Amino acid sequence: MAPENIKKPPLWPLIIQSVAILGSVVVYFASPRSSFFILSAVGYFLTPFFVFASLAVQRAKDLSARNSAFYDQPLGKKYIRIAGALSLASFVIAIPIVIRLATEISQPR
Amino acid sequence: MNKVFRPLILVTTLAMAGSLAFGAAQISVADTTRGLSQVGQGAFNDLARCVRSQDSTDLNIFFLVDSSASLRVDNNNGPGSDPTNMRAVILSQTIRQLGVLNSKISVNFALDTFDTSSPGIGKDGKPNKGIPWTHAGQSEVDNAADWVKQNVPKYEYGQQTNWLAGMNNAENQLANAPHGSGTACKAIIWFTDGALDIGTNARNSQALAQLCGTAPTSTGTGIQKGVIPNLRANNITLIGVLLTSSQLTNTSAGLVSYFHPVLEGSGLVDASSFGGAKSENFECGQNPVPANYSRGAMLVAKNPDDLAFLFASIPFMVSVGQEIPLKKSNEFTVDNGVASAAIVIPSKDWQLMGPGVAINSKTSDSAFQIRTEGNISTVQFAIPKGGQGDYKVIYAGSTPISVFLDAGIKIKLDKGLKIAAGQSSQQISGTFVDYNNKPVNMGIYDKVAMSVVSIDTSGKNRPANSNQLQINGDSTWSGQVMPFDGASSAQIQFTVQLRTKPSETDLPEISQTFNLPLIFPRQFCNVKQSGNNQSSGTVLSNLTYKKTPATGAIVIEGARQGNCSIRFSAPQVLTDPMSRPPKDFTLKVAGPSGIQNSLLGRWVSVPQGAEETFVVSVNSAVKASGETSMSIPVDIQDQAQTQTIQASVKISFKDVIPEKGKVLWLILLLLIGLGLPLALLQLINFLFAPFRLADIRNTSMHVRVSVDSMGSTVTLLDGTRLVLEDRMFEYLPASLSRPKKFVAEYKNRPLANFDSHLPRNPFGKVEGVVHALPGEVIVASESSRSWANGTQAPVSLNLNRLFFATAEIKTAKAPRVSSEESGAPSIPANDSDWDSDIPAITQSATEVASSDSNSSDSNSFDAQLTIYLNINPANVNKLFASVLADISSSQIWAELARLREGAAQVTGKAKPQEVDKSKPKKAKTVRAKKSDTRDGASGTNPSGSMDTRDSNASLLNDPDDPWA
Repeated sequence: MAPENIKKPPLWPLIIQSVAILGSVVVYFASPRSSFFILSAVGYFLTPFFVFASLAVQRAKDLSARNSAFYDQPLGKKYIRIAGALSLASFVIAIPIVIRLATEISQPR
Repeated sequence: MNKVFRPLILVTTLAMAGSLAFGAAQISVADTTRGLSQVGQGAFNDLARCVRSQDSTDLNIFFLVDSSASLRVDNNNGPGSDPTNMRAVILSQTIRQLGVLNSKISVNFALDTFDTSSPGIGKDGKPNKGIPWTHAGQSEVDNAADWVKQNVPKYEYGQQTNWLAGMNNAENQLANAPHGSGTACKAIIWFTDGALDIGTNARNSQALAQLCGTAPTSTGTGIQKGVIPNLRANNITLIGVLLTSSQLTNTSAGLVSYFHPVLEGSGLVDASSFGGAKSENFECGQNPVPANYSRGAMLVAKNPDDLAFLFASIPFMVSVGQEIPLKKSNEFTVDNGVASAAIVIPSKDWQLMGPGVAINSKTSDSAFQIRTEGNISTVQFAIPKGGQGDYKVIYAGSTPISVFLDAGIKIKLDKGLKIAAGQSSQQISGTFVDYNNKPVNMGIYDKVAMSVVSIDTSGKNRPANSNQLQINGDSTWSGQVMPFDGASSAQIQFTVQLRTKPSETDLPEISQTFNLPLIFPRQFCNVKQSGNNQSSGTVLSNLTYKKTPATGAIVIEGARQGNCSIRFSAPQVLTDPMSRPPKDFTLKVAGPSGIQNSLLGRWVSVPQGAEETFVVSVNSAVKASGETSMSIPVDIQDQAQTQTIQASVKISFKDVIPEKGKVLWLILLLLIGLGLPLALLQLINFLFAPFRLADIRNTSMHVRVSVDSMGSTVTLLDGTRLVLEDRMFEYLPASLSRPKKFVAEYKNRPLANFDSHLPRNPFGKVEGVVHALPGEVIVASESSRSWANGTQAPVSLNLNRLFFATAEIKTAKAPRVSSEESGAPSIPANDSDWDSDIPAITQSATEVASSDSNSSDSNSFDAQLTIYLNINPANVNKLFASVLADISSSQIWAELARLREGAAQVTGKAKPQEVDKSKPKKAKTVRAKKSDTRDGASGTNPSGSMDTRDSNASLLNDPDDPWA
């Protein structure tokens, strides 16, 4: 099978995941005290929800691409493995964000 | 001009409220509509003094607004005390004026409501929103004023009028108000329209007792505890504004009569509701109010115009003091010695005539600050050169104007003035200066009287002794002061009375407080306050009830001549939100040099020149929320122990009650916050679980597998090579669009069971599993998984290009289990339905088994090969060639051979059904046995070449599992 006929899995969900994780880390450390609540909420949306959603997209793309006889399945598996690792990382990053968000919500008026 | 005026304006805002007190003629001593009682005037003087004090950096004003339904309707459902929502308009105007005051001192303000609770409850059953602490910058006050105008009218649906809840809220809010490095002057402006009412007389009585520290029928003197006395002790000026309806003419009847003593300390009340007399004296807190406390003022507004006028005056009352008496209702005289004037005019159209001054309400001149809010105007101006003489304000109406004249004088202490500890009478001196710090010639005044009084800050509240000071003819003054012993600092308060000439106008009293550090003789230790200002003393960390004590450090400097000794004694409570006595506190003083036991009551030697740090720890078993301050007496001795000086250290801390629910709430939020994404991930897995069978076709055939050291060979049963043709493939049933489990069939014969496998770990991947029929082993083309044990094999959820092989377990003697027994479909004995045109699958499974058993070659066996494909007619040949190449090169055949051998050993001990019932969680046991077999007897592996491929690692590693 000619290499040019091989259908490759998409890379953009991984890029989106990486950007979301980076953005969440920046938002966490750069937040001023007065904006903890809103920026923590943004960070919580980015990690893990947005990253998880990208993982789901990656899996859906991989499954549908398997209909093709010329789909690069090993590469697809590799990408899903990376997406899974990024999702795990995003969940770890979400822990301090959730703590900050919960603390802000539970603050008295 | 602004520099001259703005300080004067500050006092006026709060003093305005004082005028309203006059309406309560029946209660207070005042007898005019805008007058204040003596105590009420004192309240504004206290606030003005605080604002003028050198170490004051902030003025924090808390607006507490009644939100009960009586503002809207009265008991007879007629119009209430404020049906036109004038309180909102006036509040808005007052907040706007705060911006003017902000130029002299940093002004912060906040607003909250009260009715049944505080904040009050709105129409929707939710707490009313307030204004959090806000710095009174111009834009902030404008925004807040607009907000008040818009929202406060909506706050009139509360069912009760709970003074206690409001005061508690106000005290807590002020304890948490922002402030700079110095002292924060504090005031509460409390709007209410009626009596305390929290349901029953018993509850009202209890609330009054908590407010005043004594029963509402007590005719004796008030005692020093309760919320209100604590506010006074905390130097919080409480200004109450009673919004009275036209029907309420007698404010001395009913519970509203308690408003006056609550604010000003004492008064006649109607105690009949509590079984007392219709008119009796009631004292709320210590009377007269101690000199180091702040007094309160009551204002009564019978109509909105009164209220608006009073509040327009408040900034001037705070910054200047009392208005001057007028010769006529609209005329006043300005003499030499008056720096500036402020006039409150009950009209929006007016003219001001005076020496060299002719302005009106439309004048636009930067020398005159003119403001108009509703029907009330204020004008402020510095007296111009030659501006002395008679002034007249022309306007429509007979209500008199209010005039505030400011001498523009401050008291300045001489540099290097020291107050020595342990000495009774000491010389002090200083200068009168203007607001630009230039000396002022006091000879221009007809009369100048100056006095000084010491304030006892030790907590003993000893009465103050006033001393007259000498005015030296020029701009200087001098005299004696007698500081209290046992105090943490020397707090002295000056008062100057001025009378101008020739009109003999008495200007407002000038009052200033100085808080000076005490200087100790060379032979004595020196107490070094580590607080950021003298009034708050050493600030400790928070005292969290039942959690952590308040702790902090006190630094003692050794004597400059010889060693000295110090001794800490039991503390005096200066202020406390719960009026806790000293016995409710546990005080420990530890150190220096690692001394851990409390040093209370013990003499400790401090070496000459040394600086020793003592750690103070305060705890209490009584719950409280607010701010507590204490005075710790310290006795100091010289080395010879011939003399003892009594001093004290002032400490302060915040009392915090940990919120029990807060921790649980926090934990719940954390669990939700972390559980929600995990649940979402598992939901994604669940949604991905169905197999994708669209356009997938399958075929199945019997094959003969030969495994030797060179690899594996797969042929049809007749020895010919495998061939794939389009006609061999059949479509899957239409009912199988996206199943989560299904039976794989070919020509209506069951081949295996497919099932999707949802991982327990949300980060895992949902996968398909194909299960072997009873008595068979199975291997699929997907990579090996740890749980692939021969009875099941992993497959992709998209079956395109999947092939799997099944084979009977080698020990064919084992009875094959029927589908009825196993609950799973089995290949029927009669294979007449199979397509006779396809040579590879014309032999039945029974025949395959028998042929295998008869085979002389132990590494050759028959198997069933099943293939799933999405066949694209455009490149069908390439596709078939590719699939056949995958099949022939696949490692599954060696694996299948090995599993047949391993399963044979298992079935020799277990019943056949047990093989079929094997679940993934049992795979470890089966795999362990297989591993043991491989490790212990290599001869059982049919092909040595498979050993390199079929390692344990390949079985254990799951390349799709991020946890692997």
